[in-house]
Amino acid sequence: MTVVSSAPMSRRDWLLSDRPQSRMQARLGRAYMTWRRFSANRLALLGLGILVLLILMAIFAGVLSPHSPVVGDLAGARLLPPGSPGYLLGTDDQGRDILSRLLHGSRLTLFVIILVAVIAAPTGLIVGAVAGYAGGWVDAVLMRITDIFLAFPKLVLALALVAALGPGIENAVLAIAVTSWPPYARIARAETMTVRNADYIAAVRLMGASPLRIVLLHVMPMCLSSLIVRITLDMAGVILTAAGLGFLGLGAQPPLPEWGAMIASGRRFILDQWWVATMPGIAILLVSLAFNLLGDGLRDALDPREAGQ
Amino acid sequence: MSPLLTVEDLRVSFPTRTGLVEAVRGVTFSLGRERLGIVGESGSGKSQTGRAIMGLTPPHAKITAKTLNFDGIDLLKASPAKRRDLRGDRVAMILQDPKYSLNPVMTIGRQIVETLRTHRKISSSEAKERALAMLEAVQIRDAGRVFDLHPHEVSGGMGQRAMIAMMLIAEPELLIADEPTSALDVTVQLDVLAILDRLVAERGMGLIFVSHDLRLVSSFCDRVIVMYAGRIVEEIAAADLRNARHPYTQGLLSCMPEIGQDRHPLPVLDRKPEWAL
Amino acid sequence: MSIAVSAHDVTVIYEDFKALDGVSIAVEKGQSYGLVGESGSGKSTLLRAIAGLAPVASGTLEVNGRKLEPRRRDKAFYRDVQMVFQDPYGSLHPRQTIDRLLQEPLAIHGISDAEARIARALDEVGLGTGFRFRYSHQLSGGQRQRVAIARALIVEPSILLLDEPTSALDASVQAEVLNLLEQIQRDRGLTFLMVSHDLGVVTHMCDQLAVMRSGQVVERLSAADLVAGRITADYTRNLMIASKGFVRTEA
Repeated sequence: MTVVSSAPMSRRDWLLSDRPQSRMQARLGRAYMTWRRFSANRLALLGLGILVLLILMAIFAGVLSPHSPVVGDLAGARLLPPGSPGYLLGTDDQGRDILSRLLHGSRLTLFVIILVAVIAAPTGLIVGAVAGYAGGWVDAVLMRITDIFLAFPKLVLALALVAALGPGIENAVLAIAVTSWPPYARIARAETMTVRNADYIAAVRLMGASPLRIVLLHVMPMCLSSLIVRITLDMAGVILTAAGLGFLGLGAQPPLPEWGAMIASGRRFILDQWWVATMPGIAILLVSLAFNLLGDGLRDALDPREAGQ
Repeated sequence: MSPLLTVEDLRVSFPTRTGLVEAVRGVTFSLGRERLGIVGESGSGKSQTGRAIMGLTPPHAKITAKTLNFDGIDLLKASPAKRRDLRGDRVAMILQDPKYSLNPVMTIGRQIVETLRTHRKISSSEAKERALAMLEAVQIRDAGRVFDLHPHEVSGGMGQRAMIAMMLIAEPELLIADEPTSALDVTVQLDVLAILDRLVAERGMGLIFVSHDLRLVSSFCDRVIVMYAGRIVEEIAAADLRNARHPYTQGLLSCMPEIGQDRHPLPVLDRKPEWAL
Repeated sequence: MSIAVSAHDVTVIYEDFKALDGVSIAVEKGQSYGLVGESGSGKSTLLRAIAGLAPVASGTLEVNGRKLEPRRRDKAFYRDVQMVFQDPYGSLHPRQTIDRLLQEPLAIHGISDAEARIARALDEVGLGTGFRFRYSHQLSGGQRQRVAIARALIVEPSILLLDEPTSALDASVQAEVLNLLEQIQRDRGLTFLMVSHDLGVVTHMCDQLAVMRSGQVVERLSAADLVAGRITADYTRNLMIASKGFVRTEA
């Protein structure tokens, strides 16, 4: 084979090269292929766009908000309708600007999502992969524990936990995380079971790799893509659960601008001042939808079967 | 006598992300009531040729041909219903692994009976009788017992015999066998081939035997077509294979290690780019 | 001559199925030993038992004079014994580059100069460094099998277990891989224990062979004896006849 280096390669050709020259190029090329599959799906791009917007909102909430999210103008601006001068989305019963509260509320939403993902996903992954790879009594014990968690309805269990720990956003996050890892463990275990008898795992065993090394470096990467997809699709549910806990008064406490709590407080005026409850409702809807669209796109992009062709 | 099957300039291509991939690029041959072998390595287009004739090409693929004629019927113009009618009735196909081609939740006997009754208007008792006779014809000793078994309850060799029975029950005129014995052990392989050989001879069928194994094909067929990169590189009478002219055919023959031949290292195939032109 | 691998009266039981039933073989150092048989004969199970991948119920296995425990193998064992699997599509991790695959054994055994070793291993199996950062799905079957061989050789074992290394490959690619294996054996003085269902391949590669059927050894003979037809067991004779191809019996 001759190496032709005379013609300058376009960046795209460099990324798509079937004989990469470095570790970096191989990795970038693979990422680029995934991105191409993902970006072919318009709706998934839309979902990603909304989420990027959410993150920007959270970062720049302080700059973007025209008013304080917690201190309202009780005297002059109670329950103003959307479009009132200075209050684009109207105000609530305390005279607080709803737009500012939504902007600051996005921080809480992100906080919940990220913490739940950071706690639940690795827990589920480790429990599932270890159970699936070890088999025998380890598998039996770990999966029975998982089953116990799965036996309760998610919201009921979260409610019980928050009731025991005391209301507050941190405890709500903890409760949601504790109730959402078992499905991940099931997925990780199922993936591990299909992978553990593959020849390529036998080959690493034959190199003398320890079971821990095999699970961490060779089995877990195979579980990742289906887990990421599942987590993304679950995020809508997490947001709704967090909002539900907030709505019931067990999540974020006033005056924190948590979206669920905002709906709860707007409930009293839903007939006359509809915007108080509707605006945070739309925000929840949009973010949940975005996560669902993103999850669908990721499922196509990360499907391991694609690699075969 | 007009040939049973005429194929002229058959092309099969698949659209992929990187463009159109041509699996078969202009294949021409005709088949009478004889045994024709199609040989090639993976990616040579031999299986896709068989599938295109059978009408089993995946729907997104594009098939073109100047002629694709089976006993006076233009297969490319025939309606899907007409082609379905032909399949299993006048044209049948045996696939490599019986595990994947038999329905796992239906007994072997019922599958054979169903195949028969789809194409022939006969009573169920007569169908069963003929299915049992067919199972005996493929040398299944205990036909009555095998009739009531599910595919997973029989061995690979037995499954492939059942498959052959199912495919031949409607007495097709053309049989396409795609690697019919590659999943079987060598000793079983020969039994299955012997059964196939006898039935093809007795019933006067045309047979297309698709395989990667040049030696096996040449010992079984009358005529051999050698394919490379979607094209026919050589067509030769099986008996003359030793005098094959194309370097690819010669290379394929000589690169197999043979018992009693001490050749170290083995001659390897030097693929010339012009073969694929 | 000293014995590299020996199995004495080895039995392997999966649940209640006896996959190996009292099998004994002895492979001399530097020899190529073939295990021939059809599916279910136990030939691959014997290989897996030696590698520690099959549950040995009874019997003794020895490698280079050291007795092996039934289940556990230490790291030193894996520097002596490596294996190449049948299916080149299943034996390479689908999410790792060739570079990563070859690094793994070096990292496990704490071997330094990884860079040089990987480059050398790829050269040795005739791939060259152009393949180093590819993923396995970017390779053909023959190239994958070369990578699998490179991976086995990179820890410099003295014994290579070959489980039908060419049966999933096209005939012309098979010839290339068989030539490569012979070359490597000559260069490194390796001991081969090779499983195959193809008598042609086994007699080409091996000096000594054992014919197996239903978990037992039917016959042990040299390749020369097989070629000359000095066969005692009927089963071996049947295999010989079957490997010659189809013979039409004119009725």
